[in-house]
Amino acid sequence: MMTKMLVVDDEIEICDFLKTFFEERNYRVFTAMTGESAIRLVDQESPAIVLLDIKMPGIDGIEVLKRIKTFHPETKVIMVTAIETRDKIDEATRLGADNYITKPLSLEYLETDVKDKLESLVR
Amino acid sequence: MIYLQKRKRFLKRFVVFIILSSSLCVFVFILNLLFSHFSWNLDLYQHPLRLIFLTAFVATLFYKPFDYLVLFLFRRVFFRRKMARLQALKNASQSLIHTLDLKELSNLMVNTVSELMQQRVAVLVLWDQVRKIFWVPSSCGLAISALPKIHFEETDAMIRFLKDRHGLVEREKVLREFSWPEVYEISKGFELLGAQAVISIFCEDEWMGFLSVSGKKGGAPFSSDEARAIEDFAEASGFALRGALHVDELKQMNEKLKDLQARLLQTTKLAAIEQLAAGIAHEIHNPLTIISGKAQILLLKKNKQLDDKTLDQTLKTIVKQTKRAADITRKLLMFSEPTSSGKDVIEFESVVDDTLALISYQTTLDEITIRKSISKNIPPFMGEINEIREVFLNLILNAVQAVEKKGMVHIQIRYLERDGFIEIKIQDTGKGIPAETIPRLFNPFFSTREGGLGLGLFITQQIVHRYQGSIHVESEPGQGTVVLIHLPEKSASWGGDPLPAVPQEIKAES
Repeated sequence: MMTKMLVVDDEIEICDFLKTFFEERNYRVFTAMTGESAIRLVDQESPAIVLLDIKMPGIDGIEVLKRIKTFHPETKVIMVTAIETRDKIDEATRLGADNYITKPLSLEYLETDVKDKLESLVR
Repeated sequence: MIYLQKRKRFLKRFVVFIILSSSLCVFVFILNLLFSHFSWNLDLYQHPLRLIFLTAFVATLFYKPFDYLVLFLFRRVFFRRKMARLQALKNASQSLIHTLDLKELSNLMVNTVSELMQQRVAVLVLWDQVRKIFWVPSSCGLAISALPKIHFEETDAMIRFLKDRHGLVEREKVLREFSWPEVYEISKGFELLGAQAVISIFCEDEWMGFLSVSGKKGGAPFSSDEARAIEDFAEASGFALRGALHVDELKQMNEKLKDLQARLLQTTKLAAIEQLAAGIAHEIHNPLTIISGKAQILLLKKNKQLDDKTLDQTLKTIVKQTKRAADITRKLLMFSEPTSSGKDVIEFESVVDDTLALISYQTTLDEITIRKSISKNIPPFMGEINEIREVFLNLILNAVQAVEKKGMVHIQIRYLERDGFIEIKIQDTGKGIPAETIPRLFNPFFSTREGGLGLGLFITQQIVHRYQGSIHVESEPGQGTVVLIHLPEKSASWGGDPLPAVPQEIKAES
């Protein structure tokens, strides 16, 4: 069975290439461009892992992180964002983010990290 | 009135007396002749009382006219040139007060004294109260190379000596008056200036400096009327100098203010850009992420088949995203440009569009709707593009920040043809401004935003006023805010029919 992944970013092109990349590696990828649709999809599809941007219109990434960790604590969340400030990184980690990657990103590194986080699930 | 020294006055009186007496005798003689012709015998010689009476009568009647006559003769005929020069000096003193430029005044002073008093050298030395130094604003007849040698201290004997003296001081007299070694000190001062005489310049009680002269070509000493003339001149120049020094100070302060204002404008621009930083960074980061991501996908596809379609699409995206990043940096640069010197025709719509581009990310994030209503009949407006951009950036940023989330900002520009104004209206649905705050809005360093610099509206108002325009704010808490600007159109070259304003809605894309 294919692992479900949710990619959340307000930029459609980013959702697009992440989806392309991971679909090629046999993941089932859902995309969301707002916080609200991200939460809805998490509830609906229960993905194993979420790649989450922070700056989004409406509900922002930090809010979404909170919700996910509250209602779906087993879901792995990797913050993928342009913001690099220390306090934002600390906040996300405190709220339970499994990793924090800044954009522009290396796809190889991301792939390795995703695999890593998912493996820990299985264990 | 011209002053005649004692000697001349005596001479004049003597001359008048002579003329008067002789004309009296002539008059009496003629009278007698006249009467005897008519057989009226006055018997003046026998009746001394009548003679005395007649004499007194004539003297009283004719004294003043004769006085003027002699004065006239003195001025025009006998001592003509000298009187003319002294009169010219008198006239010059009166015109001094009208000269406000310090350099011009100093030059006028030394040149006038030099020429009219026939002095080889005339040097003006002023005391700068603030910087505590002596300086020479102007000199006549002295080589530039000699100027630096003129150096005085406040404690110099000569200076102390001069501060107490009103009136022309001649070197010879000083040498006679003072004892050695004071004289030695004082005469050193004279030597430095190459002076034969020095006169202090006072303005009321304030000692301002002194004027030194080298003496006449022949070496002749000053006559008392010459001394008097120079003293009057020095007195008049005291007042004039104070005026000119004040004007000079004001000019310097004005330059400093202009400089400060230019730097303030730069600071407000930077402050505005700071607020845009997050949005701008995002607009550069994301295109880079997309380019990097898409390129990596192609690279990681190396082993597999690369179809043309995917390649094509990817490359197109890369090009598009590159342009996006370049656009935002270019717009940023436009705002950071130092003020140019020229005026251009301002296209209000494109200025608004550029500004909106800079904040587009912010507005998207906060789900703020931006509405533009820019009418098509706005006449060409001549202005400094950076100043106009500054105005729009400040006002739109304020509106966007007031609105916070899910509000609306409406930008309207229309042409009020009848009154000849271009009206710019920026309205927001933000929290509004309380009535007591409104009068303070345009004060420098007044901000309702935490960490705000408070210069945006101040600078905006300055710019609007510079174009002879007006700016008003109407607001009520909970009702939003309207900022209204009226700019007089400078050149009305539009001749077409006005089209109705077409409102355009730019909604945030999710």
